[in-house]
This record gives sequence, C-alpha cells and structure tokens, in this order.
Amino acid sequence: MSTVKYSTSQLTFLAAVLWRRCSFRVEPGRPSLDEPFLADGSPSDNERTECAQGPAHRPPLVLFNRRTSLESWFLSSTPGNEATSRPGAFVTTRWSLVLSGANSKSREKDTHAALAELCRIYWRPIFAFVSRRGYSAEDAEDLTQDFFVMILEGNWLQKANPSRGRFRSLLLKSLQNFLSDAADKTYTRKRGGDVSFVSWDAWMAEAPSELSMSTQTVQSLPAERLFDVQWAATVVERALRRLRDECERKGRLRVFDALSAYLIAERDDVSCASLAATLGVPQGTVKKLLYRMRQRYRWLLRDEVAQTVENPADIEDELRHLCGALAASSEQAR
Amino acid sequence: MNFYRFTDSLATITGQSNECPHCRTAVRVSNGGCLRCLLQAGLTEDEDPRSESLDAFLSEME
Repeated sequence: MSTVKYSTSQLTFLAAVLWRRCSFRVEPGRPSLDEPFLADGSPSDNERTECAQGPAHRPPLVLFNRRTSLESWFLSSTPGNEATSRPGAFVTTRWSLVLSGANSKSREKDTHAALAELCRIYWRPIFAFVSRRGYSAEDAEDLTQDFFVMILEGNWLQKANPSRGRFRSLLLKSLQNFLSDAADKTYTRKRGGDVSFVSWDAWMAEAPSELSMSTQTVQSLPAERLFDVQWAATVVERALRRLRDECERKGRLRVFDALSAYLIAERDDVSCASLAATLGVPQGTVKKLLYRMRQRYRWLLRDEVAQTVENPADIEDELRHLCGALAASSEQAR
Repeated sequence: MNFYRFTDSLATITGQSNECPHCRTAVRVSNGGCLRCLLQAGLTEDEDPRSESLDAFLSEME
C-alpha cells in the first residue's frame, strides 16, 4: 500500500478547495450543491421545499456554509411543508418544534402555534375517545374543549415530561389522565360557561370526515383502539386531501378523481384502457400518472406522520403501530 | 351509546361490513380505499425520489 505525502502548500491548497466546496451561494432555480450534507442521498433542502410548496415558494438566497446552512434551515422553516420522510435528513416537524421550544421563552409563540395546529388537526381522535367512554355528545364536546384548553393554556408539556414520546401517545396518555380527573370531580360543567377554544362547526366544515365503519366495528372497539383508528384516518385523509389540492391547483382535479381510487390497486385491477378513455389521454400517460400519484401520495403520507414524531426515523414505527391497530380492530369486530 | 353526534362528525356508520379483500379490515376512507392498505403504502419507500415530480408531469399534460 503506497502512502501519498503532501507538502504544507499542497495541504493549504486542498483545505481551500474543501472550504470553497462547503461554502457557496444557492440561487433559486439552480441545482442545489449541498449534497455533501445529505449523505443518505435524500433531496436537498431546496428540492424538498420546492417539492412541497411549488416553485413560487423557493427559499430566499442564502449564503451559507456547513454550519449556518443547518441553522438557517431550522430557523426559517415552516412546519408542515418541508419535512421529508427520508431517515437521516434534517427536518423540522411540528412536534419536534414543540418539543424543542417547550422550555424556551423566546420561542413560546412558535411552539404554541405548532401545538395549536396539531390539536386542530387531531381533534377527532380525542373526541372519539371521549365519546366512546360513554359521555353524551354535549359532554364529550365540552370535555374535548376543556382538554385542549388545558393543553394550550397550561404548562402541559412541562408537566407531561415528554422525554420524549410521540405526539399521539403523549396526547392519549394525557387524555386518559384528564378523563380520570374529570370522573373524580363528577363532570358537571355548564355548557358555554368557561373558556372556548373549539369551534365545532368550523372544524367540521373545514375537513369533513368521510370515514366509513360498520356498526359492528364501532361497537366492538375499546376507546384506545378507536382513538388509533381515528388517528390513522386523519393522517390518510390529510395526505389524500393534499394530493387532491395539488392536482386541483394544476387544473387536473379530474386526474385525481379518476385515479385516486387506484392508489393501492393491484396492477391487474387497473384498466388503463378505460382510464385512458375517461381522461382522454394515452394509456402510457395513465401509467405514468398513476406511478407518480402513488409516489407523491406516499411522500405526503409520510410527511403527515413526520409532523407528529420527534425523529424521522420513527415514521416507520408509527405507521406500523397504526396498521397494527387497524388489524387488531378487525379482529375484535369479528 | 348515543351514535348521533358520533355519526355526524366522526364517521359514517354503515349497516354492513365492507371488508377489504387484501387485508380483511373494514374501515374505508373518502375515496373508497381501505384505510389499512392506504397506510401500508407509506411503508414502501420510493426507489427514486428524485424522479420527475407529479407536479411537473401534470403541468406537461396537454
């Protein structure tokens, strides 16, 4: 094995080359040069942002080096759009933002906004859990509202000691404790009496659930299982809604309407000829569209899950947990 | 249990089970797809995440 020796001037030159490689200017529309930071081959920050938000939302010009690129990405990111589902990539998700800002006064506003957004998205599992515990619809609404007030107005994160669970499991544990306390106090709050956080009509109108279950399934599920089923439905429905919105923004809602039912279909179950006739495009285009829609749906789904876990490496586990909950729910319904 | 509000805001309760032929669960979402199979799809990672995006492809369609 031969050994290569460098002189001091050669080493200085090499260091300068390496420094130039790691310190550069990123311009919109040009291929990102930051692959050295993403050793797993995941898309660069620019690509992720563009992919999620479209070309109109390109990030501003940033002069950065290895250190500041990560800082600027972290500090300027808007949760919910840029997270990638690829393990190892640097991401800020709503939940990681909440956890990282839990004890920081300076980031209180951002933390609160991220937590409020998570609560707004996942109100259905909470309400389903409370309803399943036997409360009347009115009491379930009030209890859900009070629970969110406790989360958002109190020091829930500090008291919950979230070191550091996923948002779903921490929320469920807190809800169980909350209902246990409510039962001890014999819940008798008068409707409309206290602080109001939830606007039921607005929430339902914004994203009506189209989940469909048999009476047998609903009746057989314990509250914890129903919570997970509703959680899974929220994740999937949001991913589908985002996919639909993306098609609509391009004036291709018809494409979504025609193909979304085949996102998980087996190859033999898809009649490309029929879909081609419906859409007025060649069969080859249908195949490409379906391939890209599936790819995009998977990305959106993983992005939704990513928003509720601290570490992107937990996405797989979270998906497996929810799949397991659904499998168990069908066993219980039989 | 009173299903009135539950039915309105959380799910459509159907009289009969609509079991998925692949995974045998019976919970469906808006596009008629099986909830478990749609979740399971997220466990498959794409081989080539850098390939041409859906967005670009939709733009190119005539």
